[in-house]
Amino acid sequence: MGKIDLIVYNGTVLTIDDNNTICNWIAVSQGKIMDLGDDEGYKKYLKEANEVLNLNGKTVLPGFYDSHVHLVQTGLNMLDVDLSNVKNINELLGLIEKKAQNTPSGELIRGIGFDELRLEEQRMPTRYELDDCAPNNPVWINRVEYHTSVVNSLALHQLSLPYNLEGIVRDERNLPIGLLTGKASALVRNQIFNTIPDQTRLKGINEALNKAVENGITTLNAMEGGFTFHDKDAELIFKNKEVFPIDVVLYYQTVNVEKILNKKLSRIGGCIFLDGSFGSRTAALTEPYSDDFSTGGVLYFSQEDLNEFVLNAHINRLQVTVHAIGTRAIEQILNAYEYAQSIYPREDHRHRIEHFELPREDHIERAAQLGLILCMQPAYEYFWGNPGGMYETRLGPERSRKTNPLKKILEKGITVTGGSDSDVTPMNPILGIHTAVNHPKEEYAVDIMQALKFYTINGAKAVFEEKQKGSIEVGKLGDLVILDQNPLNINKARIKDINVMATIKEGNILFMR
Amino acid sequence: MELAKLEIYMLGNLKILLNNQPITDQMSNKAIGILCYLVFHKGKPVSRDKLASFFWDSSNIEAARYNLRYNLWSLRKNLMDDNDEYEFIVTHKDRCKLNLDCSDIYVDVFEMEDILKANQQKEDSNSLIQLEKIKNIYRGDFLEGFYIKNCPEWNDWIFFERERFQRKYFEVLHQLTSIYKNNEKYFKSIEILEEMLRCNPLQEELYVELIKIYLELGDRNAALNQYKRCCNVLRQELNVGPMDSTKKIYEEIQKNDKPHETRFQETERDLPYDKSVTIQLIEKDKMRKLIRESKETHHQTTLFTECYPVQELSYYWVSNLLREIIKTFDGKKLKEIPLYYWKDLLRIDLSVLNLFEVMDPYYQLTPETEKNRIFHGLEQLLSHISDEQPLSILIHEFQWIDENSFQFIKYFLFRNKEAKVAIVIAGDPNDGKVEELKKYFRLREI
Repeated sequence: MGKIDLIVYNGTVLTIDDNNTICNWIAVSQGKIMDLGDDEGYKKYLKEANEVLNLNGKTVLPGFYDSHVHLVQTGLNMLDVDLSNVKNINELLGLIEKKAQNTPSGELIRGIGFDELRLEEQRMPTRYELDDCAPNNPVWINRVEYHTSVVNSLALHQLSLPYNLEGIVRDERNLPIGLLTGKASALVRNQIFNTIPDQTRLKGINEALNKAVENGITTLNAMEGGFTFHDKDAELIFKNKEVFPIDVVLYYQTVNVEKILNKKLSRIGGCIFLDGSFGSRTAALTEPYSDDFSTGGVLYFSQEDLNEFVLNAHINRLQVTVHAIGTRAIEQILNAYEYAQSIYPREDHRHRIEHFELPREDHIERAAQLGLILCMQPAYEYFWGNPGGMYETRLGPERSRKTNPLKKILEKGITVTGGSDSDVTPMNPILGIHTAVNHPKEEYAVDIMQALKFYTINGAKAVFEEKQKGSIEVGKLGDLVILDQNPLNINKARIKDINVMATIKEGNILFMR
Repeated sequence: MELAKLEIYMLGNLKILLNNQPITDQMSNKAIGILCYLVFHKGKPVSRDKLASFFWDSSNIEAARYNLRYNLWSLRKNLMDDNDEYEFIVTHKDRCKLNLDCSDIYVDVFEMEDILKANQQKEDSNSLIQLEKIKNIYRGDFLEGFYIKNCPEWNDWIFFERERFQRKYFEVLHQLTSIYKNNEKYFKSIEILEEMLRCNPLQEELYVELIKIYLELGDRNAALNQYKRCCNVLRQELNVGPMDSTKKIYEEIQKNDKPHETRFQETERDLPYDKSVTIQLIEKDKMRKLIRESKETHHQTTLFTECYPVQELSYYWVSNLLREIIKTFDGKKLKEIPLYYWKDLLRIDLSVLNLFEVMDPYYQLTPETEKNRIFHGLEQLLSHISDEQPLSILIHEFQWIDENSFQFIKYFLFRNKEAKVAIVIAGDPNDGKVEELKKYFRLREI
C-alpha cells in the first residue's frame, strides 16, 4: 500500500478557498488533502499512489454540503407508495393493491403525498375501500400536510387507539370510518413510526444516501425527530452516524434542551415549526393569503414559549435553529434570538434560521446584526417561483416577488447555506446552485461563485466545520466532487445540466459515473 | 355429575379454556368468532342466516349456510367434554344459541359488567375493591389481535364493543384515581394516572392532575418535571404549547420557591442520603464512603452489589443480590416467605439450595411465566426482609446491569413506592438506563 490514497490531476480544481484559487491537481493521504498545485508537482507522488485519476479537463469542487435534509423520512418515503399524482380514488386503490401484491402479508403499507383536493372525487378513501384492495395488510395513508390520515380496518384493529381521542371521524352508526385528524392522526402517526423497525429505516436511509452521493454530497445536515417526524429517526441517526458513508450532522428537532445536553450534542432544532408552509397556507403572513382570504397562516409558538426555549438552549451554549417561512414567524424567531443575546451575549453562536422565505428588509438587517446563518432552499424558486407558480398563486404577484431574496441577504454580509429540504425538493446541489444564479426574480440572483459557496464552505461554516471541510486546502479532508463541466465557464442557463461524474469522501471514491 | 367448565377471556388476547385446557388453537378463527358472538348473546338465540352473513359472503347464501353448518359442527365437537354428555351449543333449523342451562361458564366481559352494575359508583372501600377488580379483569382491549379479514360486519361489531368496554375501563380508572386521591393514597393515584397516560399521552388534563398530586405530596420538583413532560409531549406530538390554565399552575409553582413540607413517612436511617426517596444516584466516591459507613450502622441492613460489563448475562445482578441476601439474613427469616417463591428464585441461583436441601433445581417454568414469577418472588422476599428494619441496596457501576435485572428494579419501584427499601446506584449518570429511571421515578442525584 502506498502512502498516497488518491491523486487527481489534469483538471480544473476550484478550491473555494479565501482567494478562490484554481489549481489542477490534488493529492490525498490518510483521508486528508496533503498537497495540491497547478503544475506537474503531482508526478512526484505517482509511485506511492494507490489510485490515480486523470480528470481529462473535468472540474473538481469541495464535496457538497446539503444543509437541510430530512434523511430518514426521505428514505422511508422512497419505500412508500407515492400518491401525489393520483387523479381519482380508483387510481389510488389500484396503487395500493399493486403494492399489497408485492408486500408480505401483515406488513404495513404506507401511502404518502396524498391530497384529496387534487382528486376528481375530492374526498379521502374509506377504510372499507382500502380493506378491499389490501385485505392482508394494514394500510395507512398520510395526507400531504401530515395532519390527516386514513387507515384500513386491519390497521385500525391493530392500533391501540383510545376511542375517547379527539379526531376519530365516525359514520352515522358512530363507527370509525378510518379517517383520523388532529390528535388521533398524531397519535397514530407516532404509533406507526414507532413500529417501523430500524432495519426498514436503515434501508431507506441507505437508498437516500446513495442518491445524495450520486449528487456529489459528502456532508449533510439531517433534521430529525419531533413533530410530524419521530424521535426514533433522530435516535437512529445518533446511534449510526459513524457508519454512514458520508458525514451526517444531526439536528435533533426537539425543544427538550436537557435531552440534547445529555446526549452531549452541540446543536438543537431543525424543523421546529414556528409556522407551516405556503403550500398548505399555514406559513404565517402579515396579510391573508391571496387565494384564501380567510387565513393568514398559523404561529405554533407563543413568543413567550419560543423565547424560553431559545434562551435555555442559548445559555447552554447550543447552536439553535428553527423553521420560519412566513414574515410573522421570521419576526418571532428574530425577537427570540435578540432576547437571548440581550440576556446572555454570546460570540460566534452561529444560530440559524431554516427557510427564511419571506423576510422583510428590516428582518435581513436584524439577522445580519445577530450574526445569524440562514439555511435557504434556492430550489424552491425553481419549483414554485416562476410566473403562475405556487408562490404567485398563494401570495399574489406583489408578495411573490419578494421570496428568497438571496442577493439582498448576501449584500448585508450574511452567510447563506444551501439545503434541499429533501424530500420537498431533491437532494441536488447543482439544481440549487442553478436556481440561485438563475433566480426567477433577477434582482435576487447571485453570482456563480457565491452560489457554489452556499453548498461548500458556507455549509461547513453552518456546522462549525470550516477548518476541516468546505474548501480544497492542505490539511482539510479529501472530500471532493468531480463535475463534467466547469460552472464558472458554462452558460448560466445550463448549470442545471452539469453532471456529477464522481464523489470522493476522504480520498475514497464513493461514486463514479 | 361435575359440570363442564368453559372460560372465555375476551378482554386482551382471546383465551378459551374448556375444563382448564386451552382450546383456542384447535378451532378456526371463524368458529371462534361464532362462539364469541353466541356467548355475547348470553343464551339468546341468534339467527343462522345472520351468523352466516356475518362471517361469509352473503351474496352466496347457500355456501354461507354450508360453511356455518360445518363450523357449528366443529365448534360442538371441540366443546364436547370427555363424557360427551354436555353440549354448549344448541342448534335449531334456523337459529342457534349457547346453552346456559346447566353449564359452568365464565366470561370476563360479563364479570366486568356485573361488577359495574352492582357497584353503583359508590365511593366506599367496597367499591374501591370492585373497581380494582375491574382494572385487573381488563387485560387489554376487547378481542385484541383477533381480526378476521373480509368480514366487515364482524369487525365493525368488534370496534363497537371494543370502544364500549374501553370507555367503561377509562371511567373506572378515572374513578379509581379520584378515590385514591381523596383518600390521600397519592402514589396509587399516580400509578393509575400513568396507566391512563400510557393509553393516551395527549391528555393534558392528566398531566395537570399529576402536577396537583405531586404538589399535594410536597414534591415541587416532580410537579415541575410533569409540567416539562407535558410541554415536551404536546410540542412533539401536536406542536402546541400547554393551555393557559396549565401554564398558570406552572407559574404558581415557580413563584412559590419554598418547597411544601413533605408528606412522606420518614423511616429511621443512618446513611447520609435523602430519606424520602427510594432511588438515588450518587457519585462513585460517595458509594465507597457509603459502603464503609454501612458497616457501622445497626439500624438498617445494607446489601452491596456490583455490576460488570456482562449485560448479556441475564439476571446476573439479581443472582448476585440473591446471594447477598442469603449470606446476610438468617435462614429462618428467609424461610418465612412461601416455598413457591423460593422455587421460582431457584431458577436463577442455586444458592437457594443452601436454604432448602430438598428442592428440585429443574422445576419447570415456561419462558413467558418465568420472568413474572421470578420478579414476584424476589419482590416478596425484599418486602419480607425489609419489614423489620429498612434495607439499602447499593449498586456499583449501574450502567453494566443486565436487562432483566434492570427490568426488575423498575418493576419493584413501580409497585413498591412506599417500601422500606432504598436503592442507591453509582455509575455513568448519562447512561440510558439512568435516563430511563429519571423518566419514571424521582431519581435524587447527590
